[in-house]
Amino acid sequence: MVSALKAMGLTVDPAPGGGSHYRAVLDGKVYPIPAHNGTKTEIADVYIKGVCRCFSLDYAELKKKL
Amino acid sequence: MVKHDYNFWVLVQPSADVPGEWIAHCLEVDVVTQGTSINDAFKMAAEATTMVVCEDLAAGRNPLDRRAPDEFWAELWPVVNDGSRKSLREVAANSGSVRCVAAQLLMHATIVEMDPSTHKPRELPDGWDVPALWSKGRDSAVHA
Repeated sequence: MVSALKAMGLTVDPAPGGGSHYRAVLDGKVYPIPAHNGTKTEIADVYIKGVCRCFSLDYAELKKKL
Repeated sequence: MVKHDYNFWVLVQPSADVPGEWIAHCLEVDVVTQGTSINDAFKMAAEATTMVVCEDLAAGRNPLDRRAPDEFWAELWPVVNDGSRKSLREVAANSGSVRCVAAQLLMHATIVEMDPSTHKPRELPDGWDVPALWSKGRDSAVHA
């Protein structure tokens, strides 16, 4: 998920920063990425749709990058 | 110093596509996250929501502008109106039979003005010695 969001133009913090979420940022707006298993965290489809809503990303395009 | 009090609805449901994971959705700020149990999902929701609220307030945005679409609120009302009220302990103990849990997350956020020369708050809210969160280089910081 981290790599896919970076490929879509977002900035993602290199580490969760003390909590269990990475911070994804685009145009100053922030959305958390669950990281309880680090970069191996398996992400649910409903989360993918949520991050797409937040940043107006194309869902199909993001799915292709995952 | 500006204070905000929020009541956020959080819906937690078993994931349809990731076995063993529970999805948490905070509806007022449309933030989705996930956890390995019902309790963990609520903890993750609190952390994720705090992140978003603090970042939005520090940037001068209203976090409620991110509200989830109506279709997700439509999932909440049957749970609130027709579901049974239980403690989180009871719910977690019977998680195998849970379809959906709704709970409210109460958040108190305080925006404090930063002193640009020291990068520290000009004043702190009552009862706090050190803010839980502040942002270096910004004019204001939020802790919740």
